[in-house]
Amino acid sequence: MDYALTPDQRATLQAVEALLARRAGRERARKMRNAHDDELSTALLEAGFLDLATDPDAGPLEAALVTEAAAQQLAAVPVGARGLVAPLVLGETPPRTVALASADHPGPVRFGGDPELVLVLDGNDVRALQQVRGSTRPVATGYVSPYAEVDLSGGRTLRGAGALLRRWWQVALASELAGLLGAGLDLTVDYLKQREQFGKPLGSLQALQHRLAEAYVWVEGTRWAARAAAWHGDDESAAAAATYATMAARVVAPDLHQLSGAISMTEEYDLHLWTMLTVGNTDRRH
Amino acid sequence: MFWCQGFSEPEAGSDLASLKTRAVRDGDDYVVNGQKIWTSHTPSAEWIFLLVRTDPDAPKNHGITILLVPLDTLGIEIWRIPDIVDEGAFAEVFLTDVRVPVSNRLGDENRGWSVVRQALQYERVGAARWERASLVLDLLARRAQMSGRLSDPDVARRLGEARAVVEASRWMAYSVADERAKQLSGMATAYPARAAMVRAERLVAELALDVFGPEALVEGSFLDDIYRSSLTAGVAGGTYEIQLNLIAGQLLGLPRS
Repeated sequence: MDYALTPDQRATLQAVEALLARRAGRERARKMRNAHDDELSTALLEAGFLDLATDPDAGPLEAALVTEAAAQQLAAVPVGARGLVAPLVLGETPPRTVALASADHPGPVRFGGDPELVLVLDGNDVRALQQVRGSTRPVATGYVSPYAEVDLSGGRTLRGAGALLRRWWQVALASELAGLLGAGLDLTVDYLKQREQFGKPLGSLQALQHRLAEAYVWVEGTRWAARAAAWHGDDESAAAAATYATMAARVVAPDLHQLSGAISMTEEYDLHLWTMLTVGNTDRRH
Repeated sequence: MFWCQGFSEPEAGSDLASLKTRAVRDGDDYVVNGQKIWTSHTPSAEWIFLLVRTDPDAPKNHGITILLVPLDTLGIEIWRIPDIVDEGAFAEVFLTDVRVPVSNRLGDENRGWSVVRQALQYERVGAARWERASLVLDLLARRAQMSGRLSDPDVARRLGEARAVVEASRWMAYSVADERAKQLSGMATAYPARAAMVRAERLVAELALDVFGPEALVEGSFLDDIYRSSLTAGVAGGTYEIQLNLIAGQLLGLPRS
């Protein structure tokens, strides 16, 4: 593995970042709260950013980079599920919108409101549910993405595909958390540079600097674990990436609130967009 | 009677003593102008325990006075701040030419800071957050048992560890109460007690998410409430970091940088 991105990978990343800068971001996320961003989904699909995983000139790493960038910009689209997981599990181009669920772990399904396909992890197998529309019930949460209860019974069984789904789901999770935690940290660093107490910026206090620096280590570790797992594509590195990312989320998300103080617990401040996505997205049993 | 605490201001959070809300003597009244923020439970409170600056030229700890003010006094405006905690936790209080009789002053003029410090000492362990964490842990354990997850040794171990952390924080808080009841100082011991209960509450909230995953996300569910309110644990009533500073300086006797 070459740790520097190739010129093609850099170009892909820059292009998707440019698209996301126009069509995603904080304001858009507030507008799209608890909804699926159809326009962004269309734009990403048309530009080909959700079909990189099985592209012979790209691959899972490119799809993971796009997933990370989309999370950073709070894209209200299941980029990891549609662009990384589903194509690699199905071996073909999935329909437009995909949700991921686990038969063992009940609870609301993220982007479960109206997906064209739900991939259900069911032990060693995967079940592919189509047209769940009508059998879903939206669930109110404060975790930014839309959630719904979905009847997970039935569907076409992909025998033995469980490991594959688990692996790429773990890589997608780690990539998303890298983007979310990284952007949340950036916001917090900026705030602590300018917020003054005791006659100086809070960010000049060494105790807080150390906490931010530790958060940075978690974020970078998550980023590289996710990228390495996407590149290697094996179960062990995927599990390691998801485990590391989950540990990072557990420490970093509440810490960013703690370091920012009460303002970060208000609606008007943006930090919760990233942290609540992190919490809502983290399946801690990986 | 229900009180709220008019302490924090936009520019005076952890650095509370730098508060700017100004009170100027005018005959038998003080005239108050300024702004308070993060004032919890203001909408249901009847009175505000208000910190004001009466001497802007004195060192910041020496120009602070306490006024006891009915919230329906002319010139007080309260705005709720929408929050992500769902406790109705936050409000802003705007004070414009609010007239407060001098007889509503608590203690001497410019001598309010020592009273505030004492009030904060009580608040540090006064909110029984360890008890809440303990009750939540009971519920988690019962749920884990009902859903069969308790047979997972990892879940059982973590519930046990959380119990230990909660109980330790309870005993620390009780020891502070005991010292106070016996008229011992009970001041400095409040810092570690408070820090311990912040950790306990956070640990229990993390456990709820770890064990119950997506179920914990449903709005209004008690699992969801726990996580959100745990975010405030280390900020409300003085930050966790301020407790650590006080422990390092006053209990460990470490030199200031």
